[in-house]
Amino acid sequence: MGAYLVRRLFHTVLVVWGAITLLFLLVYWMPGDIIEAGGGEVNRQMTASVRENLERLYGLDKSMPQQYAKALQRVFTFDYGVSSTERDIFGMLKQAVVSSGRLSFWGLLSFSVLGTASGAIAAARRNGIFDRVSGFFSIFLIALPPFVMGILLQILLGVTPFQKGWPKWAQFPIQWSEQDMTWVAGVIPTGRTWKYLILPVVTLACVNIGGISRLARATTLETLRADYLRTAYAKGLSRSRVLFKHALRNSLIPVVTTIGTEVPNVLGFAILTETVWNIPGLGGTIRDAVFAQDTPLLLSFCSVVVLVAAVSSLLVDISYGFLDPRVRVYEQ
Amino acid sequence: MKHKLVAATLCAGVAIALAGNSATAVTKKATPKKPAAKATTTTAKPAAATPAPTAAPAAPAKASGKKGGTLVDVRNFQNGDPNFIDPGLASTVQGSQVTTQIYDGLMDIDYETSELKPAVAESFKWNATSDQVVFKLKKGTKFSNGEEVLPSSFKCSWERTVDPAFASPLSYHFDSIKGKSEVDNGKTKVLSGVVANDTDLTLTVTLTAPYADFVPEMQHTVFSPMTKDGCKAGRTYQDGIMVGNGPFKMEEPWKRGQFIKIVRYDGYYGGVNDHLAYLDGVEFKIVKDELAALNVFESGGADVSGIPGGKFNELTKKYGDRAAKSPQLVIQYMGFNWEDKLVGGFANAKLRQAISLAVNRKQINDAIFDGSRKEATGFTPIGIPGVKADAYGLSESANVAKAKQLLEEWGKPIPKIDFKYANSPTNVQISSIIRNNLKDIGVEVEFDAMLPTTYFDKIRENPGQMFRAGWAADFVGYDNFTYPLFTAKAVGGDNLTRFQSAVVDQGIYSARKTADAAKRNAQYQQAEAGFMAQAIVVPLYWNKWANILSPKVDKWVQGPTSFIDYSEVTMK
Repeated sequence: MGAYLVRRLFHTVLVVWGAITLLFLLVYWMPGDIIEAGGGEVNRQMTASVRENLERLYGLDKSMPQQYAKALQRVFTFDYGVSSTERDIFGMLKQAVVSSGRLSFWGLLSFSVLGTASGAIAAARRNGIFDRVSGFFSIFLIALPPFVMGILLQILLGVTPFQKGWPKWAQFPIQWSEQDMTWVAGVIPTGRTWKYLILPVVTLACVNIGGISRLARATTLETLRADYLRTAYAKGLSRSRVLFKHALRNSLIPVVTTIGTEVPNVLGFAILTETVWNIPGLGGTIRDAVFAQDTPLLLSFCSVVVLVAAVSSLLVDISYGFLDPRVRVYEQ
Repeated sequence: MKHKLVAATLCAGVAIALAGNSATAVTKKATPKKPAAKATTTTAKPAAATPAPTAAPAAPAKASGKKGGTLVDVRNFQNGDPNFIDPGLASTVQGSQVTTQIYDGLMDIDYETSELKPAVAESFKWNATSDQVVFKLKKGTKFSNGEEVLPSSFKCSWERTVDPAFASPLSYHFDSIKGKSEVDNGKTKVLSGVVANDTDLTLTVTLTAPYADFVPEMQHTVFSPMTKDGCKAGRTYQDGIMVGNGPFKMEEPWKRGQFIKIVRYDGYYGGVNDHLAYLDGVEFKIVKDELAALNVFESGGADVSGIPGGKFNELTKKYGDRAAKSPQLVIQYMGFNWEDKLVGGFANAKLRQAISLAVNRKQINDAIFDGSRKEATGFTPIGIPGVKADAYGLSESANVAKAKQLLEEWGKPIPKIDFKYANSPTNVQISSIIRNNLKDIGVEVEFDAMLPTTYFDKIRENPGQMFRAGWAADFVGYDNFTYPLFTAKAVGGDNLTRFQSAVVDQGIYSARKTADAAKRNAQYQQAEAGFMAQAIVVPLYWNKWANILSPKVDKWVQGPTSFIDYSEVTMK
């Protein structure tokens, strides 16, 4: 196990390095630069002296290898420096990880539990009403982009209740408001915080819930056809016991794999979710950094996302062993 | 870079801030009721509406609006945080909107009349050659920390901005001041052309060449004063509480991605309107998406919102009197390359005139913008003092017959013309309409859709034959729409057409030497008549923009340079 973890850790470092290198090159070769994208005056052609001063400030007067070395040094020493707008990147990162972490945690939990449960139930009641309804909604949600879902939720549960004069409890705030939110243990909302949290979480969860539900249904159906389950029924076990005790656990492996690999996707979709709901998280900041061609900010935040993706992938591999002893990769 | 802003604005379908009036609000007219301040050799202070010359009154006399209330604005930051709000760095309208509320400069405009008025300055006086101006400051105006605003507050603030280590994108505004090039070269940190005398409250500014519109340029927030501590602060000053001398002050730092809050400064000297702000405060909510911002407004979370692209007709109809519309000092145009053999030069003026007449501005406005823009019949927008918008023989609709006649008079084979534009949805639509318009007179157009991010750099190198561009004012002054765009000196810079005319140059330089504002503006207008006669540009439309207001907003005031005057806004 120890050797396996060390090996995977080494792989993770390689992945982060590869991603940073690729991103650096993409930003470097992108037309324009940080000065043109955001640091420059909006009204007139930039004079030579202004341009020179800004190039010095952003390190663009250095050669490409020097800029690349600086970028790597920043990421691997966690000395991220400041963004193009003079913000301490490490401070931004801390805030963003917390905000995105809360959103992703609840989003991931919601679509994992609800998606798996609905898929399993649909499989158990194959071709029944629940199966058909959940199938319809799964496809509908897969097809609905989070941006559209977010705006729809804002109109349905934020704007309409206000304009129709519905009671306060039925009106949902439609902007994330850090100063009005309180938490226990960092992730459990208290007071009115759940009202701020619920719609962004629903937006994020809806993107994945359909896919997970369809996958859970398919794998459960396949498991239900297995000989050992026929034996379980022959032994006289109840339907629910067969389903939850024997079928579900074995059908979870592909689902867990997918959920694990969805973690970076959740962060990816969070770009849109965070934009619509104005959440100062990783995704929203990465979006801003791309538009601003802010290389230090982009690389710092992306390195964290890559790290999260790599770690989640590792956790998925390890979790296989607990679900199915035949695939304990670290004992091979 | 002004061009770039306009391109970006079009790409995103985002209106830069301008507002207007509600049913009870002041009707905003960009055309001044009175001529702009007379920049003669005597005081420019108008008789009315200027603060007492000797002291800042503790309670300015003209506060007649209803006091109180905190206005929540989701209009200004509907596309996320600004990059800067520090006066030395704020280069976007959105960021500067906050800066203008916290800082007052030497001069400002009355947002209701577009009239230039002294703000912290009591008066100004030009020398005979219009290359040196002496500002006399009001006595007793104070920053919100109690520190007196002195001439040295301006000098040190300006020197902070031009310091190469500070790397301000706005430092070019000081290029006309003597000694700036020495600072650029790193020889000194002192602007030798600026002399502050705190004893007699005078600030003497010596310029490298005559430039009478330097005084109107003092409206720009980059010329704000700063406290002694502020002058020493670096680029992170905006992360704390910036101390200014404007109608509002900060009481808590900018919360990135969330809000910027300002509250009324009760020690304010009164500004150009001689009263304290009516509002208790303004909360600028920061939202990353304009549709989401609209939803915040419509769910009761804000008192004012912008109008997202494509929703102009729907929302102005829905909100009626509470949809505030007003013009913007922005021109969208099409330019020709003066150096091109086919379309450039004096010899091809009739071809250019024919094309200008064939363009149906009304069709562009109606088809793309729901009629929400103003068809441009001149180049310089209405609202700049001295403008004559209808003096150049252009109309809102096409004049195909006249255009064909001009083509015949031109007498050469009708060419196929290369047309470059920054590839955005709006530009694609505009270009398509123009191509169809030109087909009506037999002129074929070949499109060259270019990458928006590098478009203007490429156009500066090679404008091709015909191209799309826009230009926005950063202060109310005619020079802003002539000197940087049509003088020979600006070729390779913002003179994208590469236009060169000795007569036009002479008119502009002569205007720059003229201290009297009315005479100066007449000279600028004559210069405009010169380049419009050559049809080197085809004006398309002047921007307008709109905001929607909650019933709680009583009076709403916005300036012609895309700013809201929150000190004049009142709530019910």
